[in-house]
Amino acid sequence: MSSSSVDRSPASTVSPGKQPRNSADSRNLDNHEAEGFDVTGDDPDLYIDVRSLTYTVKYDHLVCPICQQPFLNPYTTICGHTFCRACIMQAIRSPMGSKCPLDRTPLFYEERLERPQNSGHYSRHRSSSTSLERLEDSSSADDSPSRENEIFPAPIIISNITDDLKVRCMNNARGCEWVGPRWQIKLHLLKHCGYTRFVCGKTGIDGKICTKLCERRFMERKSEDDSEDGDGNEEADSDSGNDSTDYGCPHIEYPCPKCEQMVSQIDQEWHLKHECPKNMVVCHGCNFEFSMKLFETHEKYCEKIHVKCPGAKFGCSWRGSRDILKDVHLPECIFVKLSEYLEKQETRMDNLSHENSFLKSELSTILDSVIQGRLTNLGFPLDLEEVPRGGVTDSVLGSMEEDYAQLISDFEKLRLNAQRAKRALTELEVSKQMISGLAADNLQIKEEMSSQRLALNSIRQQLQFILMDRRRLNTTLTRLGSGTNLVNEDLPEPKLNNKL
Amino acid sequence: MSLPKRIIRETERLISDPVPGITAVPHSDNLRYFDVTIQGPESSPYENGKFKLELFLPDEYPMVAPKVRFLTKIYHPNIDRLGRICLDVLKNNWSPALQIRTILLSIQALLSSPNPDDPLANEVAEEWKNNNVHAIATAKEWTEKYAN
Repeated sequence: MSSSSVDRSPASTVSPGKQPRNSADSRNLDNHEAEGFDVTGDDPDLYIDVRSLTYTVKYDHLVCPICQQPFLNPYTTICGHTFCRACIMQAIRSPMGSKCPLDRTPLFYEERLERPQNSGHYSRHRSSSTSLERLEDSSSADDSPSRENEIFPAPIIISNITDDLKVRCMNNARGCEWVGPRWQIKLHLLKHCGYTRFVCGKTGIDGKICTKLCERRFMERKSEDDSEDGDGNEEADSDSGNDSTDYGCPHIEYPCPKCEQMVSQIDQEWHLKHECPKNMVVCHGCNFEFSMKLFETHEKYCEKIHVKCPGAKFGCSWRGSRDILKDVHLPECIFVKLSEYLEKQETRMDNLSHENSFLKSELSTILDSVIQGRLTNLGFPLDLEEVPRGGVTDSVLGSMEEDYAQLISDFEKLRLNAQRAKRALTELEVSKQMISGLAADNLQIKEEMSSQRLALNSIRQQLQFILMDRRRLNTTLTRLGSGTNLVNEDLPEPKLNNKL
Repeated sequence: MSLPKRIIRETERLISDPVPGITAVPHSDNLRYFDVTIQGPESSPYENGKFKLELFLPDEYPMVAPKVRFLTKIYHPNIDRLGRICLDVLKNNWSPALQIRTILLSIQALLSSPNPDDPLANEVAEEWKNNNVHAIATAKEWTEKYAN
């Protein structure tokens, strides 16, 4: 990502380094410090305002539509839109109600008890260092009969990508140049950044505990002789350094070694540079003495001071005092005369290189899509016509060779297919024979069954006949017993028998 | 109370990348209060007019809609004589995903297509429905008279 695409928010337009201070107020520096991060309570986690961070990279598609900031603990809806958890929760409780703010899909959401495992979607596995906000994961409990929530944690990759976005240190305006992934900001501010302010907590000159705020770099400084830069934060943790009395309260004021004005360790550096009337420097051009605070203005106007030729950036190596530059060198310096032209060329080159890089990126996306197209087209004729590169014959030969290889592979594939088909055919034959055998068996069984049925029928008839016979015998027997009057009754019985 | 980052971002974008025909400038003493101008849309009776509006972002913004009001007199069935606007996205159809620029675009679109069936200014709406030619003539007249 080029630096030109850096997002500029107002905080980042504040020039780095010391903010200009009003000299009259230099005694109350704490109230006039540049904006930054202060540790004022017991649990700094709670008041690190991640939303106020300034990002140094583009984050076009990782923005919550509600707060317009990169996602913080992203949650997704069933309609596929992603928001910060805090934003969407606030939105569904707002007068708009439980609807997606982007497409107004009705959304069901119910706050449920915390459950580490999430049955409905996916459980969240995030190391504690990457979670910037207190997570109160609501997960759909599997034993609850109620509906599944329609707002749920977004895929972890989204939070990982957003947590990895590069941000500036919150103490940027105080001079911290740190830029790093968002998930590290807490660690940086609390443990490493020399510009984070803590409650001083050291014993002041009057024996009371100092309650003013103080940047870490002043609290860790062992003595005034130590290096002046504030980046010496190698000493890991300064738990407000209450164990080390020899450091002394950095707010204790002492007379400035040069002008006797009362200064403290914190503002001495600034005092010497911008305020102290007796911190003298000798101008190497005119050999006059100036106080540091006036020297900067003097530097701009001193006629004798040695300066570079304005054409130095184009290659002029001339150096000399300003008056000679004006009177002698400028009229004859070829670089200065050409400078207008050279500058024009430079801007043109800049534009061209910008354009070039843009075109390169476009080209790479086109190439990507071409490659993807080829991958998905494997085995089918290519729709894309390739532009012949270099010698025409070469490319034609090359493409022919490719085609040939393709043909061979296709052929190979076909042969394999044919073999497979043959095998399948023989298998089919076998099963066909089996089926016809079964059919024959079946017929035989049918015939047998019908002959059995016939046999059964004839047996039944015989049985009936026998039964009739017995009955007749019975009746004759009774008749024999009772007399011989009922001869007529015998007659219908043989008829009936015939019917049967 | 400090200004939410979203409002800062929106303001920056409104100024760096303005919507054609719309300007919105925050007051320097109250960054939640905007002076807005909207150009009358082409081929509408408000063409060539320059309408002034005021826009205020309540504390709850973006959870509630911004308050918008016409300052320039306008003859329109959905805008009453106090400049109040009848527009669904400013009332119950507001969504926190909408922004100042989308709202101003909606108002510009309302100028292109008045909706006399859901009126705020009843007399204007009646005129609009019953005597359309006359109503449009009046709207043009008012535009020339007040919106310059």
